[in-house]
Amino acid sequence: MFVKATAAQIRFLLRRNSAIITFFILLAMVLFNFISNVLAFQGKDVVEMYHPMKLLLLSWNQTYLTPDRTLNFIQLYPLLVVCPAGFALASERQNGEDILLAAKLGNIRYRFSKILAAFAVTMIVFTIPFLIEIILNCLAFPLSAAGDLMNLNCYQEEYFRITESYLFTGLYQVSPYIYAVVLTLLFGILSGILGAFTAAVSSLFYIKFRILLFLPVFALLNVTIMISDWFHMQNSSVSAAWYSYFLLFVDSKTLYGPVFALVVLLLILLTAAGAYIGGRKDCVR
Amino acid sequence: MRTISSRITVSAVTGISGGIYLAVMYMQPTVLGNIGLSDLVMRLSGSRAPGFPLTPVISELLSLTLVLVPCYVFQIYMGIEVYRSFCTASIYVFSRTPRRIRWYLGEITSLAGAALLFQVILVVSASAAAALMHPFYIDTAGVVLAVYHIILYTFWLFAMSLIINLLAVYLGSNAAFFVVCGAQLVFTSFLIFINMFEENRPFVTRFLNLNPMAHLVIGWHSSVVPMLDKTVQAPYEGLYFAVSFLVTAGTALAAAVAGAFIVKHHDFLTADPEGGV
Repeated sequence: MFVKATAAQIRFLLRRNSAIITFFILLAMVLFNFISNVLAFQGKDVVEMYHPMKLLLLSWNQTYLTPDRTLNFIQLYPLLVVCPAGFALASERQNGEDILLAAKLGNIRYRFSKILAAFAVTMIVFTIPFLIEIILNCLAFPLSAAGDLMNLNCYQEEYFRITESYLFTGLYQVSPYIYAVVLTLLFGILSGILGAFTAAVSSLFYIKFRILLFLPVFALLNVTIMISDWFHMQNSSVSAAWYSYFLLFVDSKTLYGPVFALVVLLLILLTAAGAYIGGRKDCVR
Repeated sequence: MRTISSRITVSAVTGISGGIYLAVMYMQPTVLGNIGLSDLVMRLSGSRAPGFPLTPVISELLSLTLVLVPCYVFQIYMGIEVYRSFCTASIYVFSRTPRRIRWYLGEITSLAGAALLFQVILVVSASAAAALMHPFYIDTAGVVLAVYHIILYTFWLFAMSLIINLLAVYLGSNAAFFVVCGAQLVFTSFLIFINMFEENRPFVTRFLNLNPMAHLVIGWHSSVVPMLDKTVQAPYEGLYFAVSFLVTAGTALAAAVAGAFIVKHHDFLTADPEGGV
């Protein structure tokens, strides 16, 4: 029953305008990045060509050459990630659909299925456009190209030091292509968690105006950049900024993977708690 | 009455907490060990230190967004202040308000007042927090720049909050905020083109005047008053305070006029946009 309900919720949420529009915004950003790269690098010798995976929109390495597109994405991400499914529970609560569904499924089961659906839909919307870009880059650019956008030679000691600071550097050393696919999937999962977290907030509190649901993720992600700035002021090289963990090929900063994993775990627990506590509340208002 | 008091409370709480946050994060003393009001005001819009205005590179533009976070939070709350009357019991509210334009003028005056109050409190609390942490002095240019900052940001906040309210009538509050805030963030990102085309001075001048977010960066402004020009030391030419006042005030006026038209002609026999899918 739970699986069937969740699958139905996913199908319903994927057909909503907010999910479709967010998907096409991301696809447009990805295609713009891809076309710009094709125009910039057409006819370039393979020896001088940059690695196709380092030209992705999600690649931090790209900011050394053309920072505008990745910056645009980083700026919009805290708003975009809420859109596909973050408002799902709040809008059903406002038009009274929640009472019908809670009566059919049970309140706690309904909340959990909705939040799981919000996770899945956000993950799908935030993964597919970037996987499409990986395929397009593999088709359009030479796969043997190995250039780095920092213009470092791959035999330089500095290059080794930098690539060793990547998150999941072992995976990168096995294959940059596998690294790009796995980290894109991880990016989708993290986006899904943020989408589910927003839905959990609306399960916990009655939020009349959906605009207020932008606040938790917007504040959370910006607080990580503030903490990072604070570390920077203390002359520490530690990066706490969210994009250092979400993007690919992030270098030259000290990343704390276990701390980040702990924060993500805390977020998942808060989401589950939000669904459970919200589910125990009375539907009748 | 309750709405006005809640607006004052929100403006005060956001202003004080935002001011303290900005002072702690961005108000470091200069090499002389102190900080002046003019320097503080310029740092409220992205400058790093005296003589080091905002550089349009990725890290500093992200910092500019962080500096503006209190303003975005203010927009989230004020973005539903006029619109909320269009949701709950709108028929009841407007059946008791036959002169809609008069009601609307009262609402936008209150919104403008809240934006002004927020900016005054933000600058005062940032100055007070900076004065508690470091030796602080008030200079004449700083007072003028603080007044300029308050006027510019009040117009901008008022315009953005009002546009969110008006778009929300058609799109719902979440979509309206996404459009308005998203546009501000995209224009902030576009400022990076200044760095990429720095050699082309005429382009940079045109770009600065056309990008609405550039008008908010006090450290990029030139002035006909020599004292201000000497204090700010703008790295680019052609962005004047007078033009920025005109752009922000013009946007606010255009939003207010469009709002009057929307409020007058809005049909209340439509579905509640917050409840839609």
